[in-house]
Amino acid sequence: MNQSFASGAPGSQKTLNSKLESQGPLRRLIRFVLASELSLLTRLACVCAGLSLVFMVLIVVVKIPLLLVLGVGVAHAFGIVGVLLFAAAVIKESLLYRPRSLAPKAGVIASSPPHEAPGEAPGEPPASE
Amino acid sequence: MSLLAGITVFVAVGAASILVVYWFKQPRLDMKWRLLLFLGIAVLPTISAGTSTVEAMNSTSTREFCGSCHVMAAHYEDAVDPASMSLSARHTRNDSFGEHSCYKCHSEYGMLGYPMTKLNGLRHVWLYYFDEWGDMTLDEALSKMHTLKPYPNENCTHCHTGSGKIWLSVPDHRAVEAEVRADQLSCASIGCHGAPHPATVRAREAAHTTSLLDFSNLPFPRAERKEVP
Repeated sequence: MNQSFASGAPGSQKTLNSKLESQGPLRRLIRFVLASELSLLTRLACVCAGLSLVFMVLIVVVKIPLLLVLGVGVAHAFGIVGVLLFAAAVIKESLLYRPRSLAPKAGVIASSPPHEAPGEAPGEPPASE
Repeated sequence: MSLLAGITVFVAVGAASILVVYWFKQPRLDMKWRLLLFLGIAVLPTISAGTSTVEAMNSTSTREFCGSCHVMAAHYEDAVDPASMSLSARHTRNDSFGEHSCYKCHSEYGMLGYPMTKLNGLRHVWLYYFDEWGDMTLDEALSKMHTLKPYPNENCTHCHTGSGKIWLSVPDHRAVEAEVRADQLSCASIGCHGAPHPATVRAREAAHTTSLLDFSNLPFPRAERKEVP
């Protein structure tokens, strides 16, 4: 991380803003995808696919001249963005969730479940009074 | 509703159902839901996009679509007038392609003919909605608007071969054959088979103080409408 961000210096927010502004829209989009939760990405993909479907149905049902001409492009654009977002969600999920063999073993985690008393072994029922 | 439109709606409803169920249930993204979302976001919309695009392209080739802009009203009315004997009206009355008569006569041929014609159509849409065409009165449009380039005889000879016995047996054809093949003389010229759109000729005549043409000698004057008893 840039030292000026971590230092909390008076100019750090300004530096951050200027750095973000200097990034291109594609890089900002990639950063947004990386920072977003999976459910948000899939929901956005659903919205884009839904809008694409709405335009497709409007094209064949309503048949307004301007919609016929521009609707095809708009529907395709939404559809492509939807597929890309869905692909990003699936790839990101595949990268985030590691296989079971690589996952941390039980008992290694320091914190105990909230219902267990500090002295009890994990998995045992609480002692009756 | 056409078959393609029906397929589009059916497939779109199927895809939308998957998306709506996912939206409200918010299940974990396991393999089953990955496949379902792949269907709902990628596969079914792709099918729907294909059918709707073909349907839209067909719709933009119809005579009604061309006549939907007010600047084409005079041409459209003449084309669908059963009493008109103009070149466009006689082609519109042809059962095999009458519904698409504007497109058939004004589209380019060859491998890139279809996309080039559609691209040119996009230019028309731009000029109509974002330039002066949309603000023109019909009279202004008829006197000012013109084709981008001279009408090529290739568009006529695509159907009328121009090399058959009947065509060659016409003395006028033989007399101007070289000029016709070199696109120096249009088949749709007044005095030959034109004018294709008499409204344009009349409007340009009215816009000029000096007479350009004598319309009493048009080769295909408007026929008298016969009253059906």
